[in-house]
Amino acid sequence: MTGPCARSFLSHTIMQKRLQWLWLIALGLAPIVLWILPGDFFDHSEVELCPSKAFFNIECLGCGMTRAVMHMHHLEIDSAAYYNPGVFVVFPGLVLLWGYWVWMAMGRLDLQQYILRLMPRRA
Amino acid sequence: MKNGFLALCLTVLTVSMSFAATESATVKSFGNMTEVQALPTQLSSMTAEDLLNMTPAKYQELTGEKLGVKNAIALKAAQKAIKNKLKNPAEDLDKTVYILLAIVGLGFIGIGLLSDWSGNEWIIALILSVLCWLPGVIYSLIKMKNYY
Repeated sequence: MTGPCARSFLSHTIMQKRLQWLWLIALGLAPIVLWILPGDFFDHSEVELCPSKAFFNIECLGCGMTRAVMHMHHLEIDSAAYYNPGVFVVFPGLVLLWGYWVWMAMGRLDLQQYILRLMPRRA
Repeated sequence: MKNGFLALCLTVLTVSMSFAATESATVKSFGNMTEVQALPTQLSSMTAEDLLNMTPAKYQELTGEKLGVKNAIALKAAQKAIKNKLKNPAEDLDKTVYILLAIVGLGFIGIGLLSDWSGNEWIIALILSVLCWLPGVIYSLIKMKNYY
């Protein structure tokens, strides 16, 4: 494959690879940024995002989950339970999802082999 | 002069004692609720206002001890129960009955009962219910937060 078509294909591949790197860096930075922010960062928000709470004044199952996840991320377990006890289910799920996304992003960049090399091999 | 000073001291003492009595009365008035009974003693001895503003972080600042998961969940439940109790001026109509009335299309009855048939909210609910049911349901459910 030569000519402008090949150049276009190559630039497209390079662009895709750059985007994959950006995605992986963003995934890696997300928990670090959340750790840098204080645990009560979302506690004092006056904005009512939940439509159920805003219209009917009824708390839904997800109300307080952002605050709970933020506290759980800072290992403030009692505060997390206070804002939403469902965090004990949601937070491990989020960690698993994050891990899956990181693993897939590494797979697209052929980086999984470096992790697999660190694993102990069976005799 | 001395008598005047004594009288002033007595007045201040009486006022502060009566204020303390009303503050403690507010706590005792919720003492029969199961959610409040489940609280640890340090929390149940607080005023209702302090309890409503309490968070596990504030508790740790005050006492130096961690609240714990079980007590944190109990605190949240007690705060919800007290808020509902304070916010609910009309106990003559249960919230479930109100919601059922709204769904059936009779939300104007719920609004009317809770507002003593004053104001125009129940009339609006009636008109909206007549206009194909659904607007009346939505209006009644939106107005519910004014009463509960």
